[in-house]
Amino acid sequence: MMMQNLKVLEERSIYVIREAKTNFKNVAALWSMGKDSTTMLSLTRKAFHGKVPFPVIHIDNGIDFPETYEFREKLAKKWNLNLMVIESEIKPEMSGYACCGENKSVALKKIMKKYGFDALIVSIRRDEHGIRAKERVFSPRNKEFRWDYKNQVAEVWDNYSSRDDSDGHIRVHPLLDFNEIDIWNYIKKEKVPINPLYFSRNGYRYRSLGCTHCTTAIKSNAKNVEQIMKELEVTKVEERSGRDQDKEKAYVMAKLRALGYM
Amino acid sequence: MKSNIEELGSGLWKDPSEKNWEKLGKALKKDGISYYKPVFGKGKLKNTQDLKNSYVELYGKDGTFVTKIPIFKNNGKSLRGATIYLKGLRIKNG
Repeated sequence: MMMQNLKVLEERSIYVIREAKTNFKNVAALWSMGKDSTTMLSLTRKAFHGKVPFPVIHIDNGIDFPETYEFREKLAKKWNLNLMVIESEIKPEMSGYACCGENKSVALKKIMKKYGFDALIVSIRRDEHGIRAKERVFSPRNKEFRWDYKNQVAEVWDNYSSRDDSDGHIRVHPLLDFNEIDIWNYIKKEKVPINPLYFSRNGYRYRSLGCTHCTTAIKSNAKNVEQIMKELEVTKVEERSGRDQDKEKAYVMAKLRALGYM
Repeated sequence: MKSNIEELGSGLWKDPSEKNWEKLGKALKKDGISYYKPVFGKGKLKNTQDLKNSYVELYGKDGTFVTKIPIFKNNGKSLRGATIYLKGLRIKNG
């Protein structure tokens, strides 16, 4: 049953990624080197016979884990990715957090404008956060990157509207229907390479990866994918409980996303 | 007497320039640094001061504490994170 479900999710994601590549002139994907965006790249390789046919963007504020930088370099080489590293600055007192939030959105806006990307593949999932649950698979953003989440087209019976009537760009979310266990199942099935920080060392591991100073490790002895999946079956702790920005009230996340944050 | 890494670390607190970060990055392995531990300052990176209060602790192969260093570098008028210079180290959990 689980494998059947995974097959459906995989086929749907591949369809969405191919649809994006076909319908838009200039597509790019965001890669944070976390489990979700790495799974998205693996699905993309499956969709395009082992290639990722668009640029892969990492918005780098310089405070990622050293292991994450190593993983980036290793996988970019192995999968022959067209990697674009965009350095975001840390400016004081912008909205959200000093390391991400508006600062990352500003860097993304610059790169979108410079290269004229009209579609951006982002690996968010509905089960991650209440505000992400409101997303659509094809989600328009206006020129200022704003997301009008109160006025979205319904995607009934998986009928997606991949036409871009906006004056901005479209966010494409091929993993929206996956949940955390689906992602780990897929990683196990496809042997997707994963950032080593997800696995336990000295009784701790990272369940959701962000920057070094806004992500905290959880107590865990899960040293491989099977053990992580067993752990997830019984846990009552939210996936992003270690992410500092999510500890804020939901409207902060809503505000960040409305402003163009991932 | 201060070790080379301690000297370079205190140099970074005074002047977190790219040049000083590169020096530290090159010296890490040579001087037997194997682990790092991110430590929050008083705040949680909600503003630049929080960023300046946060730091990374460096540890040797046997897990002994060596020194603490900042996590940012000067980038003209703004700041940039600098943890990329710690590539090759492993996180010290717990």
